[in-house]
Amino acid sequence: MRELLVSHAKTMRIIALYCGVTIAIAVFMMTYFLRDKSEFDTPHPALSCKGEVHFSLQPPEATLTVMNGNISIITLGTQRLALHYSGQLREKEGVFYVNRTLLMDYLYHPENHVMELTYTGAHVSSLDTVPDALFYQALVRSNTLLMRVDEVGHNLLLFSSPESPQFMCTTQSISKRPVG
Amino acid sequence: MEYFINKRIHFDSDNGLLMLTGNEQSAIQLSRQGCRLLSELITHCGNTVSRENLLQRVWEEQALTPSDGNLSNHISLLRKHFFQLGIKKNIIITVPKTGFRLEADISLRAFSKEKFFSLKKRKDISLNITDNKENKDQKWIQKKGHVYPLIATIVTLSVLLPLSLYKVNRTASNLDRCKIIDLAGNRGLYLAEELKALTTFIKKNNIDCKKDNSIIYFKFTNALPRQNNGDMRVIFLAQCRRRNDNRITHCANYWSATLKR
Repeated sequence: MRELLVSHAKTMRIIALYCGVTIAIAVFMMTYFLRDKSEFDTPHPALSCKGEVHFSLQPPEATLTVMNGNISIITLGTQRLALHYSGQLREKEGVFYVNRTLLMDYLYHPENHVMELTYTGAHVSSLDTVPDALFYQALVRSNTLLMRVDEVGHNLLLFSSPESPQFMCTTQSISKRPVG
Repeated sequence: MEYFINKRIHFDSDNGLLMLTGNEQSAIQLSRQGCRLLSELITHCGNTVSRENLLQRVWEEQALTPSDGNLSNHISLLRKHFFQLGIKKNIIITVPKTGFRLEADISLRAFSKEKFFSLKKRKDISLNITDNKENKDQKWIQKKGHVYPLIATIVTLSVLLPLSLYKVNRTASNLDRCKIIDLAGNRGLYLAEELKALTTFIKKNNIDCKKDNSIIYFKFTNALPRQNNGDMRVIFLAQCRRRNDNRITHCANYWSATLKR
């Protein structure tokens, strides 16, 4: 009986060892892979993102506003951000070519991934033909913007206003280029 | 106690019988001294037992007169019985000027656990104890004891590994080569209506799902409730093209808002 008990105890130890190893591996994998390894959990995310856009807005009893082109978003340090627009803007006033960069101060809230954007100025390319007021009314509309930033997948970001998703872009990796 | 010598010879020490295993007809009745002598040799199997020790155990302790001649005669008789029962090789070895040694494979069938363990307690015992049923059980337990935890480990890892590597948090379906993902995660009553609106929107914007391997993310939003006699419907759709390795290379966004009064 004693021998049998000793043998069973040894077997139980082996079973317990296997179960312990399995549980340890499982816990490690879950905490490692399921954790949010995100730039956007930090207060100053480094961002460089680009996407193609086709926007259309049909106000009541008004002409359709359409923009087709590209938008890029890039952070400039820990407080400023650049929004670059390029493409074509179609308004009741006519068809215009857009090529300008909006400069914004940003304050990022990592706890809920919300970015406060405050318009500070714009750099307008010589190729841009949109009147400032028209551009502002059609595409900016307010000096401050609230955007939620979600990582939808690997290298994929979704910017959403409080009402709806606005823009999905692919992040660009920043590579070091030799100078000279 | 029953012993099996080289798996061929069955020795019943209680009854003093020596026979072929499984063949009671071949039984040879041993004398009392012969039986005790063989028991002592089996007990010390593999070790040399001195003549003095044997004389003391087999004769003196039984209140019989010890005699070297008797000892030698009984050894010869045992050798003769083993030969008759088919063990041609001499398994009782004479160690000159010392004593005798039994060289054989001894198996024991313990009829009671108490006697089994009391036998094991004696340090001079060098038996190859095999209790068939218990050893079979132990082997089964040890075998299963390794196999089942291994299986549990493999099953657990194979379930957890995919789950941990993929964050599944969106509903998805397919339209040709496009994977459709609802950003709202809705599986509601309006799904059919939304799908119809989505299909119309895709066609209207010439989004090609036959050629392009892509993911389509979409969301329908009603910004203003109808009760206020206003309605703003927003359709957002992003078609993100994938390479062969499924890495997203480019996204085209379609955002359409319609305000009604």
